[in-house]
Amino acid sequence: MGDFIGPLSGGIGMFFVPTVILSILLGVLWGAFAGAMPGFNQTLAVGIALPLTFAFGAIEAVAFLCAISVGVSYGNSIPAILVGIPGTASAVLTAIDGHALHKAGKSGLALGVAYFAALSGQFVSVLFFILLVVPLSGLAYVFLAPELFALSVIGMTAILSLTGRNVLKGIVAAGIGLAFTMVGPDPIGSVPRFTLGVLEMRGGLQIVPITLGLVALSEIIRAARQSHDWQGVTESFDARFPSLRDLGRTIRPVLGGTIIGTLIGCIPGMGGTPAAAVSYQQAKIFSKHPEEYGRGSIEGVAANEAAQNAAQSGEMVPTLGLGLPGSDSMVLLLAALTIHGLVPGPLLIQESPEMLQAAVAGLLGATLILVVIGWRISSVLLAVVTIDRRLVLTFATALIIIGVFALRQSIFDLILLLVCGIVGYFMSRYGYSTAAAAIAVVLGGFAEAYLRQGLNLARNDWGNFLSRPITATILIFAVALLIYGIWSTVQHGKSAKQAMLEAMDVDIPPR
Amino acid sequence: MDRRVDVAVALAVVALGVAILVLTQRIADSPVPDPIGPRGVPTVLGTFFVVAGILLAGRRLIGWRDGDTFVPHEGSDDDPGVPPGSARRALSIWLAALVYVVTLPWVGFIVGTPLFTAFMLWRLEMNRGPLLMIPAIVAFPVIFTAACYLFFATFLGVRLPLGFVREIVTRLTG
Repeated sequence: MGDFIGPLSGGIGMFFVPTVILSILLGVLWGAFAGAMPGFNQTLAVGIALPLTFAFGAIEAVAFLCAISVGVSYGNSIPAILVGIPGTASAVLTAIDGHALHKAGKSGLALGVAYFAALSGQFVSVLFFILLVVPLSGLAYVFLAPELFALSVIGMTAILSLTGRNVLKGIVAAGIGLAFTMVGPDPIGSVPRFTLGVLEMRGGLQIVPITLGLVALSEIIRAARQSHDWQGVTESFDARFPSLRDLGRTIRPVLGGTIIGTLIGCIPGMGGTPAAAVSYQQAKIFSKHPEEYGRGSIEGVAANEAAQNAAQSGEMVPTLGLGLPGSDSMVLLLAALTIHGLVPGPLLIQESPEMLQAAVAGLLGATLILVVIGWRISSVLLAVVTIDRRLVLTFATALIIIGVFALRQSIFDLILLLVCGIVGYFMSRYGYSTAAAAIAVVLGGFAEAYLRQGLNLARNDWGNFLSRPITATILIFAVALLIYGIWSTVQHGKSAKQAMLEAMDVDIPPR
Repeated sequence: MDRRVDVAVALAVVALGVAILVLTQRIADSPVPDPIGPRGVPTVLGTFFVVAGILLAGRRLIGWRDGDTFVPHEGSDDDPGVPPGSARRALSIWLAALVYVVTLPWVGFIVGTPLFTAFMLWRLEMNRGPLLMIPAIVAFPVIFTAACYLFFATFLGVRLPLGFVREIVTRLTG
């Protein structure tokens, strides 16, 4: 019990540190603001803010980035409901039911239920987060170099097996991330590799410009292909908070969504989108009004919002507990830790328990701030929804460039950012997961070091290395995930081809 | 998606693999002996890229004549229900960003940033909306640059490059 109370009380204690609470306030406001902008996802919101964390201490940086995640998840329900455009994929179902309610003149009901469910889900899931992450960190000293190598491998394979449509492209993507980590001194003998005589490459490439380029700038380049603005939020609507009776109807889907969201969020590569989908489906099955789902169901909005917010805390479990980022925004969180000289991995919480407390402070503090001001600032966020998309893209591009420059005042880092941006653009357009590449950038360097140190530990014998029980178990699990990935690639290829033939109205031969 | 670009990307993966394998030969021996060595992981990775790239290109090239140019999407698609995307627009913005960052030390932040942001807004067709949008192309870059300069240079103490206007700015700010 003390293990649970310690991080919780430590996190709450941080509320009384002025710099921490200010960081949380700034983070949650920026997150809610960014989330309310249609087409602005969590990765972009965290990505823009990431370089600024060099001006913060490590504790403030973690609390700030966690608070942004909470703010984005809350803010993105607003464009989903009012414009019908989800800021993130996980808000798609909120967009369907919430926008239907908006069109039926029940905007206040939809916004109020989203507010209630999002914050309830977030609040309860923080407690689950502590319960799950503390036992994981207790395993830290069981993990030596071979186990840490196996963890790095599963961190990379999980996301490409669970999210990619073509697993071979996913492995290539992870390989591209790994290739970036090979530039500079090798991790054992410090022999220079792939420096091409460039002075700036002798010490290795910086993680932040690479990850920001791959996951954030690439998305902006993709979005810049199209010139348009979001429509449909000009009409007036009622914004009365829902009654207690209406909120009472949503308690069961909120609880279900919170549990499902936290558990699914814990699995690297899953995150908010499948959590929201499973939670929505579960709520529909147990609902007394399943016919309302998809046509304006407050239970559907509640289940979806609770799950996607709870998934935020879930994603933190492998990220902080094992150093395995569950999503691209978690990769950026780990990149922020490296700015402050911290090494992501199972030892992180054992050696720097204040990081866990900072995460709890960020998640919990941001939720409490939103409880107080969330409903009131929604009228301000409504104005944000109408900001022109083209201004948003320009703002985001310029701010990422200036932010990366601010880190080290290096033009080389900016060129690296842009090169990774265009590489990431082609990767994401043609099915090479940029998230897998970014995760490999963060984990890859450590993976090679652990592999080589681990082999030394195993007296240079692969048999000894691979037969360590925990290493073998994790690697077998990684192989199983890869097999699953290959199977789903084949299945997806078949169904995509079928769908395309149907769309082209081609005669399909019977099977 | 266009299978020709898909093949080109797969061939780029092969080229990357070949480049890694060639450059790996130039890596010196490690003073610390270990069974994998500094060339081990790059060799495996380079070989994997060559094999995977050939497999990815090969699956498209087999039956090339019978198939259609456009194949099912495996990556991210454009936003639905709005005008189709233009790769030329996106790439021109990227190129402008590259010119902006490469010339930053000489042109400086105060001149380069409004030029880049105005170009980006123009390429995103900000000028084709209501009349109010035209002043936005001028106003937004100026306000954004001023706000960023104040925040980064004055508040955070970041030394933003001033380029050829350094003397003027120094004289104005004392």
